[in-house]
Amino acid sequence: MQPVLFAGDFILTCKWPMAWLKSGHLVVVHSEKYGVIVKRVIEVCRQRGVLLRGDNAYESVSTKAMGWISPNAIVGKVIYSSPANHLLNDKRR
Amino acid sequence: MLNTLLSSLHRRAPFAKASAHCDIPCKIYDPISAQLAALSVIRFVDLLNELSEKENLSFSDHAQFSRLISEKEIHAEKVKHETRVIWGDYFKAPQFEQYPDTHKLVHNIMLTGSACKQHVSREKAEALLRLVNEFAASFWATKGVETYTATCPYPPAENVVYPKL
Repeated sequence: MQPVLFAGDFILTCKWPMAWLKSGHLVVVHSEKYGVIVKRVIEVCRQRGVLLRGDNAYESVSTKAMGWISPNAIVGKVIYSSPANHLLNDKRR
Repeated sequence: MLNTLLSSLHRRAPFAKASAHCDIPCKIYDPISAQLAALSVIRFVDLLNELSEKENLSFSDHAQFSRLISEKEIHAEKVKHETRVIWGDYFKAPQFEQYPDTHKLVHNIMLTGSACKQHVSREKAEALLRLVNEFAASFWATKGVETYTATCPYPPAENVVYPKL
């Protein structure tokens, strides 16, 4: 999820009603294939759930591979992420 | 400050983890490095066996012997490293679903690679190449690339699985 999130970052999630989810939101979901993952919402459908993509498009698992994520599989919306690790990572580069 | 506090809390009572499946964008994976290293192990074993047939070893033979042993171990370790990189970085859930025996195969490569370091055995070196070829075939299959087997055009002239590109 670089450049927004880096390995080791802390994120805070909150239960979020499907009706309030919008394209562009960061969410944590429980994918059957990939386990617990954090991705960005690109499409919301009340019946089917959400379509996701990674910000690091070159390396992220594709939207097609993840498929529709059902509403039940959404753990929560990311409402805060720690910026400190971003600074650390910037220094490391 | 907040991050330090969170890190401290995390050490005492670990938070749940979420993965992003984002790595350094490289995507350059090819089992040929492991295959070439496995061929090298066979070649070094052959050269060591040639050396062992001599009745008396000269000073330079001793130096050559030492070098061949060292290179055999380096290349056996390289086979293990290259295989681990593909297994650890490239293979993900969809590939493991396609080839559920991959873990067992990779573990066998690790064990056989170590056996090649411990012994001067052509049989073990050939077994290592066979396993790496099997790994290469499944790697290319996960990419939808057909493979063929051909004898490599250089010593030790063993069968190698190549991609049909």
